[in-house]
This record gives sequence, C-alpha cells and structure tokens, in this order.
Amino acid sequence: MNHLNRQHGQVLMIIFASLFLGGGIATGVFSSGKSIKSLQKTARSMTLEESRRDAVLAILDRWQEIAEPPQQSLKSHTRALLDLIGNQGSTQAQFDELLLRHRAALLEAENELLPLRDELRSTLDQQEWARLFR
Amino acid sequence: MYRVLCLAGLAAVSLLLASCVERKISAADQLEAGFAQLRSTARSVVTDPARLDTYLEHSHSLESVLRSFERDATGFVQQLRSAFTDYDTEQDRLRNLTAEFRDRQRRAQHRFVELHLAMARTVTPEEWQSLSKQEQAILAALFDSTTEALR
Repeated sequence: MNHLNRQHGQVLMIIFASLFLGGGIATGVFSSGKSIKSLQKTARSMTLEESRRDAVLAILDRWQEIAEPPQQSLKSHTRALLDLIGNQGSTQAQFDELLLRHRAALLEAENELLPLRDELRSTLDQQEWARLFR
Repeated sequence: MYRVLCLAGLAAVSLLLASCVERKISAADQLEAGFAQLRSTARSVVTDPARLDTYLEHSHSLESVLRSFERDATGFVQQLRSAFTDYDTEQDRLRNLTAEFRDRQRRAQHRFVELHLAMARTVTPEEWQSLSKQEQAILAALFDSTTEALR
C-alpha cells in the first residue's frame, strides 16, 4: 500500500512539472514508466543473440543522447521561469516566449525518438518487448 | 515588523515544503500546503481588504487550474504509458496522444500565467517581495521533486 502511495506521489510530481516543462516522449520515465538506465539493465540481462542485444543497447544509447538535451534545458528553463515569476514586471509575452522555446525543444526530440521506438520494436519480438518494459 | 512577517512566512513555506519532499508527500498535498501558507502570508502583508480579497480569489483560481490540470494529466500519463509499452501501437497513435496533451497543456499554461500576472498587478512592490518568493518556493519544490523523480 505504501509502495502504491509512493508511486502515486511520484506520478503526481511528474504531472505537475509537466504543466510548464513539457512531458511526453522525450522524458523516458514519463512515456514508458522506466528510466533508460533501467531499460539498459533489463536489456543486458535478457537472453538475446549478441548482435540483437548490441542493437537494442545502441538504440537505447541513442535514445538517451537525444532525450538528454531537453532534460538538461529543463533545468535552465526552470530557473528562467522562476525568475519570471519573481519579477513583478514580467509580461505574458516573456512567459509565452520561454514556454514556446521549451516546447519546441521537446517536440524536436520527440520527432527523433518516435522512429527509434519503431526501430527498437523491429529488433525485438512481442515477448521480448513485453519483458523489456515489464 | 513587516520584514519580520515576510521572512517568517517565507521560512514557514520553505520548511513546510522541505518536510513534504522529505516525507515524499504527493505534489497535490505540497500544493495545498504551499498555497495555504501563501494565503496566510497575504492576510498578514496585504493591508487593503479589497486588494487582499482579489489576491486571495486569484490564488484560489491558480490552485484550481493546477488541480484541474492534474486530473487531465493523470489520464494522459496512463494512456501514454499504456500505448508506449504496447507492442502494437503505431507511431501516429503516440503522436496524436502527445499532440492532444500539448493542447491541454498550452491552455493550462496560459491560464496559469494570466492568473499569476493578475496576482502581481494586485499587490504593491513591497508586498510582492514576500509573496512572490513564496510562490517561487512552492513551484521550485515541485520542480525539484520532479527532476529527482525523472532520474
């Protein structure tokens, strides 16, 4: 029960930040419920031919490379957003510009990540896919 | 006296939020606690009753926007996770899901900023110094928790 409450709390926290900070395919936890590190660990422990395991790990590495910049910019955009909130003279246009910039970065990453999901799917069969994301 | 009230209010909200994070209390509970403290400070520092009423009204609306978005987003997270991890889901389905979420997100963001700016216009620069720091503390705590949760 406590475990469920913790999970629920964690999801709520993710949800709240997503109000301003995007959320979607570019944040691994948000889209699959598992971090890239955790997926890599599972992939390494799966019974796969070496070439397919290497292919899966390479896809996950690329996923991390693409998803990393928007997650890093999340920190600087958070600071910028809090600065805007702290300034009584901030305008709607300043908020819009910041939010638009962040959304564009996430969308760009998403456009690169979705084909990677297809590539991952074509590397695994249905059972292996289920084991990876279980 | 005014400065003491401001500092006490900020210290209270910071301690409250820090203890929420420490005890892994949900973001919704953090939000409720943070906004209650913010309104308590507003009652102490905003001396004009009419402006205080307006400020409190906007703060309730702001909290309500966040709560309403949380309900929307809860459904989205479940749908996205389920679709993303389903072997048979095609790319278009995921694109449609995230596009739909972004529309709701844009509306919530716009309303949030609108209310925040209305709150800013309601108070004097001196009152703002204390109140905005508390609003920043509420959001910073939520964002920090989230950044941690995403690792």
